[in-house]
Amino acid sequence: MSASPQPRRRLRLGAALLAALTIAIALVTLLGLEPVASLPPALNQTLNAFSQLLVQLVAVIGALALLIGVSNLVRFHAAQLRKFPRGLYSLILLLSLFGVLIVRALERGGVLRVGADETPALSLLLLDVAQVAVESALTGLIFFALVYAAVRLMRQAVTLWNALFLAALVIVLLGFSPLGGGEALSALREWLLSVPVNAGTRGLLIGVALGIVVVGVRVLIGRDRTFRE
Amino acid sequence: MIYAILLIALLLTVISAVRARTIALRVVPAYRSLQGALSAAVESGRSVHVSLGSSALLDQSALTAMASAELLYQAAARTSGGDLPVTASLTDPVVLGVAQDRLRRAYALRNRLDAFKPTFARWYPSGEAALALAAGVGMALLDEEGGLAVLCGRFGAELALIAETTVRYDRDLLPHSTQIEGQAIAYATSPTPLLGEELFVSAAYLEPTPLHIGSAATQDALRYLVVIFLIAFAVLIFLGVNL
Repeated sequence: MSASPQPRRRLRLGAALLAALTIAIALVTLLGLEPVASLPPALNQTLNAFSQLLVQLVAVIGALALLIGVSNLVRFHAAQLRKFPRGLYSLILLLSLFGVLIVRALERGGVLRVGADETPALSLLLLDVAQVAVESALTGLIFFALVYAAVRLMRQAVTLWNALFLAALVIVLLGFSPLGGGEALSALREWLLSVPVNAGTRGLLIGVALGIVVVGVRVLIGRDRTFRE
Repeated sequence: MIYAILLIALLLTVISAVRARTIALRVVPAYRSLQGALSAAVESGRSVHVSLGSSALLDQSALTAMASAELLYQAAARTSGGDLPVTASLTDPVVLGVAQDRLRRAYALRNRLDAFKPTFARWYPSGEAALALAAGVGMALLDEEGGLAVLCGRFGAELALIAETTVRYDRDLLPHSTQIEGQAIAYATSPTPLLGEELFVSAAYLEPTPLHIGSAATQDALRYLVVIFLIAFAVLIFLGVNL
């Protein structure tokens, strides 16, 4: 693959300023979070305090962005209400959203109180019933979804890697099962999880970390798409 | 240590970018398949949905979110000329702004800013698993005649739900995750998944400028360096050298 010829871009003042500001802030934050030993301690402390302030500011922006997210959710699903019958899902979502908001507001105002203590019992109960239970069920289904998907892959093409994938899944699944296999299967499952799976996980994470370094360099030199066009 | 790594990466990127014309990148089947799937979606009048998962700008997945946003731009730039919208979904409200910006740029590239709506990028709340996001992606694929779902970024078990929808309704899927659970499901549900770090070099394969090719070459070089170091350390430990 070779590089494509690029048309000459006109430098825009706004983009250049944005890049300069971002590079400066990124470097200061990096120096604050990862102090350089050869710099004077007072400078390191100042940089650290400044970077902590920046991180806190970003956290505040994140909290405000949540309002934008909710607004986006409401706008999109309000527009979907006109479609029948799929609009029903959007209606349920909007009713749930406003219902939970009202319950939480009533709890905060002290109007709605379940039990003697101050904890928001009803909204927490709603979260437990609706979200935690479903998420737990989904986690329990991962292995079965994987086995089904692996069998489907084998139907498309029987390769050594697909066969290994399916075999590993079945061994781990049976290893957890109390039905049979005994000690040997359980030990094999333990070995699979602690050696190849662990090695694969580390490999994936190291690869992702290298990717992050490369993207980080592009951001630090102001060559990310945000600063262009 | 981090400064040394950044300096090495910067030097390698600059050197590789200067020599970009002589560099032949390794073949990544997922990007070859993605180019075909994007063309097929435009030709058959189907829409494209890109989900950025639960990558967030305010935690350690910030640069994963930026890399996913780049892939969103690349996909949207190729398909935003079609009749149906290119849509995106995510769970971090800060990334919502980035996704809207990338979609707007892609529509501007095709001189179709009038067709762009901010709700093409959608936010869904998430808990431990992004179940609402999974439902939202499924809805986007069915309601908006989606032909292709690109999943890139941080996905966990919810990727299985999205993959199930694409298989059941015969949609194309290009999955990826930086999480081990999501990556395992991605591998099992697609013949050409994006693997781990391949997400971070999307621009090198889809918009090969010297800098992007330099970045991809740097990533490969760093990976070989890590492999050499790991093997060397293992051999030294095996020989009884106290490190």
